[in-house]
Amino acid sequence: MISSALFEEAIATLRLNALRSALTAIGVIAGVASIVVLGAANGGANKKIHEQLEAMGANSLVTNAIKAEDVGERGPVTFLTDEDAAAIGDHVSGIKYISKEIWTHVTLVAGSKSWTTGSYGVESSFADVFDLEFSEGRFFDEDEVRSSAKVVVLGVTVAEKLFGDESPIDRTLRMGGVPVRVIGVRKKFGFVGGQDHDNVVYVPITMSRSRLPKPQRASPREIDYVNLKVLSGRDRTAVKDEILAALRERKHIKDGEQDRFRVFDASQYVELMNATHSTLSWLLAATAAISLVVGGVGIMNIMLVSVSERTREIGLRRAIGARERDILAQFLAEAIMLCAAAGCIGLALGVAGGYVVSRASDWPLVISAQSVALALVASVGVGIVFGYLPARRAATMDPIDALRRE
Amino acid sequence: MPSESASRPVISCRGLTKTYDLGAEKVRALRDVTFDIARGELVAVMGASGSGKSTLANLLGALDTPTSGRLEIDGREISGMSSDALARLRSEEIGFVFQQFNLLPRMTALENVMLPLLYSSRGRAGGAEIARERLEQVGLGHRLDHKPTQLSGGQQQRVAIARALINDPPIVIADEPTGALDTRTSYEVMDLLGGLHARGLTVVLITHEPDIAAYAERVLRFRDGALVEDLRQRPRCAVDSGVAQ
Repeated sequence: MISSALFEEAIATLRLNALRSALTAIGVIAGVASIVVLGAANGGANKKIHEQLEAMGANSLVTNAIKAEDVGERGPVTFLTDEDAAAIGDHVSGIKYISKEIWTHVTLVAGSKSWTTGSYGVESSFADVFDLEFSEGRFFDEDEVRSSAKVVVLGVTVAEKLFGDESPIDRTLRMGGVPVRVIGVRKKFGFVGGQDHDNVVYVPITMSRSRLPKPQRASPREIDYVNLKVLSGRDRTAVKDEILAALRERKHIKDGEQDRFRVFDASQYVELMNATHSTLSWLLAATAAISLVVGGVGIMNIMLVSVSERTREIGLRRAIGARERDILAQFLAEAIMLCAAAGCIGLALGVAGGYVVSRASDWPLVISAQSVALALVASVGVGIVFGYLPARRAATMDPIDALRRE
Repeated sequence: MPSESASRPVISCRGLTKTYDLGAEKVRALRDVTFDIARGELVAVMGASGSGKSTLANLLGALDTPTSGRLEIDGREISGMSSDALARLRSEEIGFVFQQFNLLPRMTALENVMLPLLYSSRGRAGGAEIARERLEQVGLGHRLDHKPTQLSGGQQQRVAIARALINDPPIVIADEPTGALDTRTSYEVMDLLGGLHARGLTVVLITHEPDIAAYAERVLRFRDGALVEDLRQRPRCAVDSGVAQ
């Protein structure tokens, strides 16, 4: 018999022992709060990772050569060239955008200020490969690349270092002695994949080659990276294999010999993040489970005390017509109410905790309906599981013995 | 049904035996007890402690079932009844009054009286009104919202009697109802139980005190688990108790 009267009575009984009830409920409160924080952290991190993946350019692949010494082999230097990039573009299916990249360090000078940073020499399609966004201005176009235009797009950090609060658009700065005009500033992006994407500059690859100081190169046609975006819906792994196969053929790498190239998938980085993140999640989940179990044992303990204290009451109730299941329901209702109240408090604390975590970690605060539901289901579940034994004991008491108890 | 049930005894015992198995020895708490109680009787069950009167009270109250023999309560045989069926029988047929009152301390008088409705098939609809009537009936219409600790022993027992009456049972079993009360209050409680009897209820009074048993029109005396005397007497009435003071 589950009726509202039953729950009203359970609440009245619990309020009578308010302090005891509250102390008993701490374990469940902690357990539920951990579940909610866990859910919030999980949701927040997932959202953050997803955002980063989006921002890094979904479906993008980066190909580069691996130095022989890095794979512990001797042999001729392997490097990528313009022709390799062209071959990938021509022969590998499923590519939407492709952009070559050479990388160098430059010192930028604007007025009295100077700043040394990394410079990407890329094609105009680079912006499409990684879905670049700009807070001011634009990226360079194909004509500017073809004509080796002396233009530059700045990362926000660089723009701030050189121009402070002023707009750098159309200002001229000197890169390694070459005067270049600023045509755009990339939107603040942050530190992703071990790289600060705000402390860089982008110039046309042609300009970089002809004008900027270059590191030792094996060939004037050498490039550092081939960046490409796979058509959506295409299997990135298949495209990756095609690229590697094409390069092996071009470089005459025999079967059984190791690849001298690597194709990096941004989603691998996300998977790595997810893996670290899920280890943490499991740890937190285990903590939540342990505190729920410990809390549940506390509930069971206090319910056993309650049953023992109220033996005469149980006897009386049986005498005036309560069936075993009525007594079972009464004590179960009490345990459930206690746990549900604890669950609500834990939920509130968990939301507060989730807010703190999200502030501390710069993740968005995500309190999903699932985690709220899980918290409440878990607390009621603990009430049922750990309240059952004491309630059963109360229900199966012999009414005569129970009435006789002092 | 009223005409049939009027002629039939409300309680009927035939060869009633209860044996407790205490490991090595078996205790025969009741031995082959046979008697009937007619509807509307006020019967005292007397005996020293260990005479079997408490065992009998538990059986008549459908809290327990006999080891052998037959026991019919209002025409229903209780041997072999399930725990749920016994609970239902208690709810519908029996009002209990205990020596220690057994009121729930956290509830008011009114809530205590309403408690049996929680387990009654007729439900709690209009329960507060019925409970108020019952409390007025026992002279506590002005104490509805008092907690047991705010009431005297006699008042508590009157609340307990009101509780026993809430479901309109045909039988009231009062197990040493005056055991925790002083003499004067005892007589008040007995007057009240006598009044129920006068209104047609069957009252079974378990007691070891002769002056309490004196209120009954019939005394069943037990010794060592056996019924040794079944005596009809002229009951002391309310006026007498006033004189006794």
